[in-house]
Amino acid sequence: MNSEEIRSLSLVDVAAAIRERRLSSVEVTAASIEHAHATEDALKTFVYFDAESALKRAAEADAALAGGTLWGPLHGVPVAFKDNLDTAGIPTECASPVLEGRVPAENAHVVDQVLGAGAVSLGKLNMHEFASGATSINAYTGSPRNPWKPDHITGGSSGGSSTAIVAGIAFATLGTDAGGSVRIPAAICGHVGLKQTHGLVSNRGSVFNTWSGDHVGPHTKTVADAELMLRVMAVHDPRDSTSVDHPLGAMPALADLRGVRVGVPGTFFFEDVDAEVDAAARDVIAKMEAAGATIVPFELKTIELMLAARMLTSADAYVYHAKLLEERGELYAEQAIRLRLLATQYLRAEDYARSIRARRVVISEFVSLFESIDVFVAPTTPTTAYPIDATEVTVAGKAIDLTQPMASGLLARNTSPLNYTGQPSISLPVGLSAQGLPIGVMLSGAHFEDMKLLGIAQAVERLIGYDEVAPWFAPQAVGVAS
Amino acid sequence: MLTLEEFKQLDALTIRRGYPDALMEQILPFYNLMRESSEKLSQFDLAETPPALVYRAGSVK
Repeated sequence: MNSEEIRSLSLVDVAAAIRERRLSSVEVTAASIEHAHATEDALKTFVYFDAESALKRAAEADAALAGGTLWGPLHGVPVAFKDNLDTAGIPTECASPVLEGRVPAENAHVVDQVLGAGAVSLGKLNMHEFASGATSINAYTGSPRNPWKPDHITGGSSGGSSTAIVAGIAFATLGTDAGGSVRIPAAICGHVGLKQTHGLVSNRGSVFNTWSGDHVGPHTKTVADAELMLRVMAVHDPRDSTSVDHPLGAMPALADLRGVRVGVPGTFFFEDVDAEVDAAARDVIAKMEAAGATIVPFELKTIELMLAARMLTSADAYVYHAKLLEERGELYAEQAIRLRLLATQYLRAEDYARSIRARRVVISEFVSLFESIDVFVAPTTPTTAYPIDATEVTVAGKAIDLTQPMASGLLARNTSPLNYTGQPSISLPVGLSAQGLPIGVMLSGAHFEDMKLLGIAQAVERLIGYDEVAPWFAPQAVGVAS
Repeated sequence: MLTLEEFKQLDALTIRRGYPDALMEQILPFYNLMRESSEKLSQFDLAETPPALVYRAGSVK
């Protein structure tokens, strides 16, 4: 196999090829490194890259296998981690000058799981500063670039994690999702992004954004890859009070969607959405119905309550930043992050308490909803990627001033409710817009029914048959030697 | 929504950060957005709410 053929493999397939010694880890890792070098100037995927350590680890993986030892299901497979996940002895700076020189002594629990399963780390991935935005625009590190159009945003906050998948550099990456930061770039860049039920994957060692909304989630090419990653990552962590010891069970293999109840929201999720994104989501619903699913329209009564409360619930991020704001506030590359955090100091205890109570009401409605549906379908983002230097964007015919506070939150409007409720949610690539930019559709399931969600998502993936490849998967296609 | 002077008074009467006026002016739009959310939220009667987060494993629906 040549480099491009190797990089075309899914995580499941490359792991099997290495395990069965049809490919060596060194061959696969060298292909990843070669391509990372060829694309880095254009795509700004990494904030830390260590080819030497990766090749050393790959050689050790090959030697172990030759000696009859299999480290785990990711044996010898190149992966990479978002820069807010602690990696022992390796800088973890949240893509911010505020944390320059921060080198953790321990791995995040989830990093330990992935490396323990045998993966080879390529390095740390570019991101929105402190994961505090949905675009990944970052004046400090240089914004990661969308492999479909490098002058466009990747979405965020896990932008580099998406670039690495779509450009064919890593076979799986880890992102974090406190309001949509795994699913948004997955949709905007055109691949699979999973946010599992809150508590299944430990947050210990994931640099804090909001304690009750953070999720570490995988970025992959396929749903089967996401399932493999979730099985590796979802290990109970007694040192994380939010970690839940819950067996995942088996992912159902669905030949069709007979017996599956598909919720279609009549409120909120399809409002203020670009026409072609709306059409793509409705096309997925039509395909699901044609495959035997029962369509169940529903309305949500608590959306207004959630919209009022969710910003206040996330105010707990201030607690992590308090000392940094006091001592190094002027160093935040995106001063809007600093200003938003400083503003939360003035909230009243009553506001925060109300937001927590509101959350219970909203979760109760979602739990009840899933007594009559198995999943619901909605656009992941209301629009597709826009230029990095845009100051205004038109969504569903309305002009949005991106210079206004919280403006980039428009990309998180559909994803963040699932962080608020803690339910599993996955974004699937479903097609390209007229401008050739990816569109994502989000399927969301009931708490702890992650495997059911993944089984349905896999059936939908098959129905859609999405197999588009970004131009920067093969740089020679855009005039750059690989 | 608060004016800059009102926001400075709020600071003086509560947490007393005493930031420079220029910084307070920059924080104010973010504070006003949160205040808007808080005012909307206060219009909901939340006296009767479920006693706990309901989605943890083993808990009731």
